[in-house]
Parts: sequence; C-alpha cells; structure tokens
Amino acid sequence: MAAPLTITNQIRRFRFNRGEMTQQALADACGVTRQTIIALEASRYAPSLELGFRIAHALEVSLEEIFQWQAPT
Amino acid sequence: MTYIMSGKEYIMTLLSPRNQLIASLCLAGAGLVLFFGNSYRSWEMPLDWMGTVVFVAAVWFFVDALHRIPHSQAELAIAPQEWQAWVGLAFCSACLVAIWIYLPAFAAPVSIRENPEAGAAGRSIGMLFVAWAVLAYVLNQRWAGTVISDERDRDIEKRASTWGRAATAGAVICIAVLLGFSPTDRLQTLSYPWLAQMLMSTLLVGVWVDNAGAALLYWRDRRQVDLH
Repeated sequence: MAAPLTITNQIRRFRFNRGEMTQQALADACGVTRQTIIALEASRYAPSLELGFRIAHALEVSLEEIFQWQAPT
Repeated sequence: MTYIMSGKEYIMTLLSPRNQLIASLCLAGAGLVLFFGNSYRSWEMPLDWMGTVVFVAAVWFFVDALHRIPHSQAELAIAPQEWQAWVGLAFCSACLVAIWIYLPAFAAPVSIRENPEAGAAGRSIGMLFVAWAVLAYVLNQRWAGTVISDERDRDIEKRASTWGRAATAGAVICIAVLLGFSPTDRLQTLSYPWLAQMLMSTLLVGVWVDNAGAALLYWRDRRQVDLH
C-alpha cells in the first residue's frame, strides 16, 4: 500500500467557491487531464511546484491557501 | 402498453454506433481466433492472413464507430494514457502468445527467408504490431484537442518503465542461464532464428510489464479515488 501523502489540498473547496468550476474546466486551465485533478482532490497525487502555482493561479488564490504540508510523524 | 418498433426504427437501432461497436469487437475476436487457429493447420488456407485482415478491418470499424459516439462517463473516468496502457497490454499479450505459438516454426536452422512457415509467422506477428500502432494513433486522435498526457502520466510512466527494465533484465538473464547451462546436445537443437525469437520475446516481456504496471497504477489510483 502506498504511503499517505504529506501534502493535502483544498482544491475542491476553492473550485466550488469559484462558481462550481468543473474539474474539466480547471484541468483545461492548468494544462492537465481531468483524471489528474480527480487524483489531486483525492490526495492520490502530489503535484509539482509548477502545477501547484498553475492551480493557484486558475483558482485566484495563493499557493498556501490551497496546499498544506504536514510533517511526517 | 407494449411499444412495437417499426422496421425502420429496428434497423436504425441495429445500425447505432454502439451496436456497431459491439459487432466490430465480435469481428475482432473472430479475427484473433482465425489468427491463432492457424497453428492447427488442418486447412489448406492462409487462416493467419485472413484472421489478421479481419482483425485490422474490425479495429478500423471499431475506431470509426468509436468516433461517432460521445464520450461516456465511464470513458471519461479513464485517462487517455490509461486507455493506451490497457490497449498496449492487450496487444502485447497477443504478440507474446503469437510468438509462443509460432516458436516451433523457427526451430529449423535456416534463414527466415528460406523458411516459408517462419516467414508467414513473422508477417502475422508483424501485422499485430502494425495493428497496435494504428490503434494507438487513432486513440490519440480521439482525444485530439485535449490534454493527452501530463506530469502525473509521466510519473506513472517512469515507475512502470522501471519495472519494465527490470523485467527485460530478468528475461535476458533467464536466456543467458538457459544458453549457458543447457546440455550441448540440447544447445545444438536451438537454431539462430529460434534464438532471435527468444530475444524478441524478452523485449516484449519488458514492454508487457511496462504496460501492465502503468495500467495497474492507473487502476489503483482510480479505485482509491472511488473509495475516497
């Protein structure tokens, strides 16, 4: 079983705050597939720094508001 | 109240893209049965060639029908690269089975050019590769205009490639051990075309593990998301 990711995110919450932006619309805005957005929202994938910035830019919030890092215990 | 379809409606239902898709899949299956059935050789007919032609035609009609139906929710849930991984896995499995079935045809210690049986087997296996390449290209065309691959796909591809390389190395070691430790009388029965086929199969084993690994990683991610 894969180790749990230490990076969590609030993509789904901010997507809904942006007028229920669809996963496909966010994927198109960031240049990724919809399946990657699905995996990100389910914390199944930790994005690169560049993708993190792209998502923050598309949702018009700061990187820190969307992504949180939890130190492994 | 029972609704009875008119003849025109019935024909239109039969000719719907979804039914064409099912029919072409059945046709592709029949083509593969003909292709692999050739090993029995009870008929004086080029069944492998006929099977390959039927299979390629079925794949063509399948893709044509696929283009005419809208993306379903089930299809959209699967990433384009995951489709490619599953298609690659299916074709790789077919190629490996074909190589295994046709291996005796390469046993004669003569060049493939001078061995009609091996030549026919080689052409049939080659046709499977061509069909795979065509289907992979057409599948990419279906997603034309959308993002086909991104950093997550590259990450999965990287992990799957590592497994693929390990499998290739393992298969090469198996052949090396086979050649190095087999009794001399057994080694003398192995022809160069047979060894060439074995080398091809080691490459294919690597590609098979690569595709299987990628398909497994995508499937695992999707399953975890569904459970989430």
